[in-house]
Amino acid sequence: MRFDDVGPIPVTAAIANDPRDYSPGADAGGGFASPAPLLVGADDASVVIRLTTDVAYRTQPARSIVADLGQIVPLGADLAQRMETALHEALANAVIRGNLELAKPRHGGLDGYVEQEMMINRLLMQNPELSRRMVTVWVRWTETEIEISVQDEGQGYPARPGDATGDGRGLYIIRAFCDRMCANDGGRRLSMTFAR
Amino acid sequence: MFNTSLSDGNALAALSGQLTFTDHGAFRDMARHLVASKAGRLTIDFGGVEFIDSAGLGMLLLLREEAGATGRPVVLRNAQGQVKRMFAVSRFDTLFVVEP
Repeated sequence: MRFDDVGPIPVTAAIANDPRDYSPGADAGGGFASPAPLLVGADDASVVIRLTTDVAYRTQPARSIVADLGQIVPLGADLAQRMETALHEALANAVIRGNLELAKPRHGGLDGYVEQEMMINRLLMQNPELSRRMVTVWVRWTETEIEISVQDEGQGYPARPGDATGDGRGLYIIRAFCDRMCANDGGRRLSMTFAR
Repeated sequence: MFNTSLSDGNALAALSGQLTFTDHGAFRDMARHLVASKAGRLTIDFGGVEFIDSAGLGMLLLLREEAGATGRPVVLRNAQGQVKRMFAVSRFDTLFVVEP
């Protein structure tokens, strides 16, 4: 069966279960802009996980999310590897292109990317409005499929897969590693479906 | 994250851990070591790398451009698991010398 496109991720219910205050200036429990990722909603066929931009960037949590998911939904080694890679790419896009609204450096080779990394670290340290934007991961499953949606809170961007050597490399990897991919909400949400 | 060594016209860097979007600075340092050498080929050993992302692939492509400017090939050696799969999906065998 296919998942219905039911519109927005049900984070309203998730937020209602999240006791912490993510507003700028608040200490949500882990010090400045660093509350731990939190499982904020779960039932017998879905989980919702929310992370701040800061935590998503610094912890690169795809592996731990997939490992935890594997405790609930059995995943073979091949599926877990494809899922971890695709989720890592989707989270990187959600954080860097989405919530931090940064385009790729156009020039400067490796130096350009090193400078962008320094800029990202400055934004995460000094701009709570950006660093506390949320990334929401919504996982749903049936007997035959698992769908992972990653939602950011940026302005949106055109999510166009490129090829392996140029722009859109991350989306190219995601498309190669999942069975279906689609972007919604102006590029703020990417959904990846994997056959079980 | 990396060790470099020079021998017999080959500059070799052995990477370990992960190569992802927070590693541009360390990778640039390694790339400078390799490119500054007089070696005829620049080799990276991936035997200790267990995960690479699209940013890591991009770093390798930028190193390839720099090495290509002096006519030297980049050799990607000993990739395992997820890294080997990423190289295959990205058809890196058509861009680099990929060795087992």
